[in-house]
Amino acid sequence: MSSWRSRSRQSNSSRISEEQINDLVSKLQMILPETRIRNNDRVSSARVLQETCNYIKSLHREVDDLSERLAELLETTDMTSSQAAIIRSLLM
Amino acid sequence: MENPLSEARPHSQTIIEERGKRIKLAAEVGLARSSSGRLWSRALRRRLYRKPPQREYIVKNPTPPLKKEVPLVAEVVAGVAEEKEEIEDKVRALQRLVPGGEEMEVDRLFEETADYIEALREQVGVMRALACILDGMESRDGDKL
Repeated sequence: MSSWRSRSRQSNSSRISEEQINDLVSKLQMILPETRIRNNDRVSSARVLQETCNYIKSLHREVDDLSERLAELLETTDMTSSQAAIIRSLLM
Repeated sequence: MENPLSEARPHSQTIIEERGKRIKLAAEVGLARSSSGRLWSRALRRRLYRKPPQREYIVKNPTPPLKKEVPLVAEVVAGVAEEKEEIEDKVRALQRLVPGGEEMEVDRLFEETADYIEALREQVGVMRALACILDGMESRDGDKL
């Protein structure tokens, strides 16, 4: 196993070992919501990475959808200027 | 839930679309501001506050794509090269999704990813709460907040 150790030391800093990848991926798995991958299942690193990408994409989509929805709601809602100021401050 | 006005007057639909884009931009600014110490938030801020160039439109991320020949993960066992490549492909995909990810080393990338996901979740939570508030205001006439 010493061969990959020396290789990773002499290579540029972006190369890391399989062991490190697995370790990091298991940490990543912990932040995924349980509906994505059940935490007691042993899943491959590739699967965790895929689910992480999917999760980020779905969060981006949610922001898009909510932005649209908020725009529509603002169209139809009557509010005072103080209410608008509160909402603006919550967003920013 | 369709706005009946949008069918009668298409112009107001454009207004709503434009407003939606501004709201999304505000959400991204809020997101960038929520974590000041993080690489992803700095990269996001650079992207948001960057002045557009005079002549060209930036369509793609200007950083050059990573060369396929440089492996990100050192090979340990011969014969699992395909699996390694699959993981590398997915790490690259993740780098494209996290702001500034393409400039990060892999271990930093994963840390930043966790923080970025947390911040996105919070942002979504705030927007959902706002939508609930506005929904409530719509159905109750004249009630003060």
